[in-house]
Amino acid sequence: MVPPSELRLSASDRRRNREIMHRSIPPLALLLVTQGSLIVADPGRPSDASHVAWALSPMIAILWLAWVQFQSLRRADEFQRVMQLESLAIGFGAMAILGLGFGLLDGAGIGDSRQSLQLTLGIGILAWVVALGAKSRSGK
Amino acid sequence: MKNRLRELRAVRRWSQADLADRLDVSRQTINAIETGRHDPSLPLAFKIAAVLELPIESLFHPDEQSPTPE
Repeated sequence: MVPPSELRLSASDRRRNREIMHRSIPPLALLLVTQGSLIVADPGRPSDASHVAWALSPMIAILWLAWVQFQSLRRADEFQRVMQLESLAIGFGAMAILGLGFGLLDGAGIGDSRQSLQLTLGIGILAWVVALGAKSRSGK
Repeated sequence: MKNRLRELRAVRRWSQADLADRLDVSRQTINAIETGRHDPSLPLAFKIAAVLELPIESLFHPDEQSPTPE
């Protein structure tokens, strides 16, 4: 157990946290706007190229966020990188297992494949975040 | 691998964050090295030795060996 006086963040921690915060805000705002526009004015079933582009518009923010995550991984020190990669592996494993399970159910004609996909993605991301949180807590 | 990081840091009255600042790593990394949950890479081990102004072999040693005295 580390004494509370030792829990001060290092300059490297502060710099990294600040960078993640600053770099994540624009893509999160874009995700909110693009996803919001899809919810507020539902394009329905895309019929032409502009509708397809609109329906896929949140992908720009998602790719931007993925790039931010990648940059954060590159800037992390060696121990943080191991922690992040292990957490990502747990998230990926959870998604692969769920995907397989839902795929089998879908093959048997049980369940809604659209909901299954969303559930798989959501639980995969949750597993990644929980694993990272647990690893970070145990490292304190 | 075992190390004397905690002991040598305490002698200098540095907190984990102080040492982390000097090495440009996170405080968590220092804690993980001290508690044996992470073995540092060779470049980081050399950097630690340089910051503590000690030869690297006096800091780290295999589990079955005793450290070389300072």
